[in-house]
Amino acid sequence: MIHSLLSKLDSKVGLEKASAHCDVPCGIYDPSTALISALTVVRMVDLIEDLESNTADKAGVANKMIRCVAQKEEHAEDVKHEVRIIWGDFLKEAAAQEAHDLTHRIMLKASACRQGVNRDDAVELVELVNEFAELFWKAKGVETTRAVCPYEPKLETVYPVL
Amino acid sequence: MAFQIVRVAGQSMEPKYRSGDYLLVWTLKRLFKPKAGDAILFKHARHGLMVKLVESRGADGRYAVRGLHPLSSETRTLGLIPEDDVIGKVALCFRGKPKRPLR
Repeated sequence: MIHSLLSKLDSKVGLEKASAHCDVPCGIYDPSTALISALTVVRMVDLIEDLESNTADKAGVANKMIRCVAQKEEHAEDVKHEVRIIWGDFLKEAAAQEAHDLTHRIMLKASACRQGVNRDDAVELVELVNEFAELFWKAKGVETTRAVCPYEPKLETVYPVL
Repeated sequence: MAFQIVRVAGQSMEPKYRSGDYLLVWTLKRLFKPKAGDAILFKHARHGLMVKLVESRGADGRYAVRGLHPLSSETRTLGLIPEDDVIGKVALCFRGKPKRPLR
């Protein structure tokens, strides 16, 4: 109750933020988590579209549908989270500027993937995260290659050449 | 003003204060001396406004602070906090319901 009042006040006047950051400069950044999440979104869309509706096991279908949608939601949000961390915490100056538009497009596309069940959106999300991964590895001075991931949905994915 | 309200950002004070909680902070410093275990709001040269726990108070009036979370930054990285940079002591915490909104 008080929290929601304060939250409204905060959105109106903008209360100051007290940082309680972990602040451990662990230096572990890797776009692979975001890529796997984006691929998962495609896979969930495929599974949702493949669901057999003409079956007596209506509860079973509903159950699977809900599980797939929940995973799609979660992984699309994970894409946003992971990309935001790399963009905000790792990329600096010119590289952050270069990634600015791409990061914003990933945010929009991941939200579109949460809102609907559209394979094109999901595939485009993978491609945007691929581009983001290339930008990230370039900033680290690491070469990349593209290969079809060896599991469904078998889409082209960016990998670092280590 | 005798108090200030701030929003917590970050995990270092979990589980006591979570990211998104609002804290009511008493700012009349003459009425209290932060002691070990108190949560204080202070101004940090590099990190801006921060909330941490007081670990100890040195003879020179500077505070050693730490977070609650194992990965929190502490005195080793933050340095000692001079008395003048302490803004106040956390009195109350308001927590909302955890949520993951659809958008």
